[in-house]
Amino acid sequence: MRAVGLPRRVGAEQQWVIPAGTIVIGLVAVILWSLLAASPVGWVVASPLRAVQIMINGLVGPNPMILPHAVSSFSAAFIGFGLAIVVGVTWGIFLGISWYWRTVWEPIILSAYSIPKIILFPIFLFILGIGLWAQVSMAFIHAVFPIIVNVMTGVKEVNTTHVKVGHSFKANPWQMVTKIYFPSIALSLVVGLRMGFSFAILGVVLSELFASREGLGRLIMRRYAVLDINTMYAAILLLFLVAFAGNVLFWALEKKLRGTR
Amino acid sequence: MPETYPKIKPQWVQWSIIVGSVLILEALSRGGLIRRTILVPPTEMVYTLAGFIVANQVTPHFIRTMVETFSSFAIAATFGIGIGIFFWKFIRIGKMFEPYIVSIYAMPLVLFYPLLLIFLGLGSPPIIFITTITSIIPIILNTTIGFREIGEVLHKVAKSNRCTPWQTFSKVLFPAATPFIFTGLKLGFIYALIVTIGMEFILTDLGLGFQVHQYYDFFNSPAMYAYIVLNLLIAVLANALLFRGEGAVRRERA
Repeated sequence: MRAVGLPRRVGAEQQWVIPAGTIVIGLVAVILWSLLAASPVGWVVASPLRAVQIMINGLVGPNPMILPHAVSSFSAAFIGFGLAIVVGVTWGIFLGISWYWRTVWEPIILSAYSIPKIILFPIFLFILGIGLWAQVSMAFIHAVFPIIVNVMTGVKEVNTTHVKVGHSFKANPWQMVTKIYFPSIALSLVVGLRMGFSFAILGVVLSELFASREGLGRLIMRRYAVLDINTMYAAILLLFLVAFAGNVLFWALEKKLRGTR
Repeated sequence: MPETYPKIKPQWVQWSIIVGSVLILEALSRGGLIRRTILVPPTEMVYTLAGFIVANQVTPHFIRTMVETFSSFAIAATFGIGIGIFFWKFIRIGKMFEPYIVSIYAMPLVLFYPLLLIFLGLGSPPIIFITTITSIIPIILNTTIGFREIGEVLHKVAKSNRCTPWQTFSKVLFPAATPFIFTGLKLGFIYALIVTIGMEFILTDLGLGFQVHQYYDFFNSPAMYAYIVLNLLIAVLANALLFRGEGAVRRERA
C-alpha cells in the first residue's frame, strides 16, 4: 500500500515516457519561439529556421562569418577549462587528502566561489591586454572553483575501508589512484567538470560583451547594434547548442555513475 | 596513516595567508614593481572607498543593487519552492524538465537582454527577470531533492497519526525537507547577488557593478578598485552569513 503523499514510482515499462516528454517540451519551446518571431516583436527575434540556416552558413558556408568568432570563443573556453581542470583537480586532491590544509583553505575557496568574478575582468585586462588570454583568464576563474570544491568533497569522502583494503593488498600508489581513489571520486569529479564547463563558456561570453577583439559575445553585440537580428540569433543559437550539449553529456555521465553505485 | 600536520592552529595560517597577500600587494604597488594604474595599494582602495561612503556616493548604487538582488531572490524563492514541490509530486513531469533545468546555468541569459528591453523596458526589470531565472534553479532542484529524500518512515508516521494530507505536508514533510530547501535558498541568494552585480557591470547605468565599469572607462583605478573591494566584501559577507545560517538549520534538525 502506498503511504500518504508518497509519489508513485515510475514503472520500468514506461521508461520511454520521460525522454519523449523531454523532446515534446523542446518542441513546444521551438514553437513558442516561432510564434514570438512571427509576432509584432519579431523584429528583434529571428525565426528558428532562419537562425539555423544562418548558423550553418556562417560556419561552413563559402563566406563563414560566424566561424572565426566561434573558434575564438570556444578556444578561449577550452584552454581556460583545461587549465582549470589541471589546477582544480590537483588542488582538490591535495585539499581532500589533508585535513589541515582543507581547514585552512576551504573558507577562502568557498568565499572566492561566491564572488561575482566578472567584475575582476578589468584587472585581467590591465595585466593581459585585450585579446584571447583575457578571455582565457575569465574562463579559468569561472571554472576552477566548482572543480576544486567538488573534487575536494569527493576525495574527503573516500571510504577509509576501501583505502585500507588497498593497502592490505599492497597496492602501489598508481593502483591506489586508479583502483581505489578514482572510482570513488569519479562522480564528484564529473559534477565539477559539468559546472566548470558551463561556467567557462559563461565567463568567456560575459567578458566578450565587456571587451574583446573577436568572439561570439562581441559578434552578437555588433550584429545587434546594426539590427542584424538573424546573425545575432544564429550566434546565440550556436552558443546555446554547445553549452547545452556539453552540459547534457556530462549530466548523462553523472547519471550513469550514480546508477553504478 | 594519520596525518602529521603543523602545530599552528589552521585559523592562524588562514589569516596569515589573507593578511600576507594584502601586504604583498601593498608592497608591490608601493615599491613601484607594479604600475599604480594596474594595481592600487590596498590601503588606498579602502581609503578611497571610505571617502565614497562618507560622501554618500555609494548609497544610490547600493540601494539599487540590493533592491534588484532581494526582489529577484524573493520571486525565485516563492516560485522555486512551489515548482520544486510540483516536480516532486509529479515526478515524471519533473524528470521531463530536468535536462533543461540543469542546463539553464550554462546559458548566457544576458543575451536575451534586447528582447527583454522591449517587454520590460530599461532599468531594473530586465535585470530582475534574468536574475530570477538563475536564482530559481538551485531552489527548484534542492526542494525536489529534499522531498524525494524523505524516508518512508515519516510517511508512515503521518499515516499512523491520521494526519490529513495538509497536516502530513505542513507538519511532517515540509519540516523534514527544510535543510535541503535552505541549501537551495542559500545558493539561490548567492547566485542572485552574483548575477545582479555581473549584469550591472555589463549593462546598466546604476548599481555597484556598474560603478566598476564606469571607473574602468574613466581610467580611475583607485575608484574602480574601491568598488571591486566593496562588491567582494558584500559577496563574502553574504556567503559567510548564509553558511552560518545553514549550519544552524542543520544542527537544529539533527
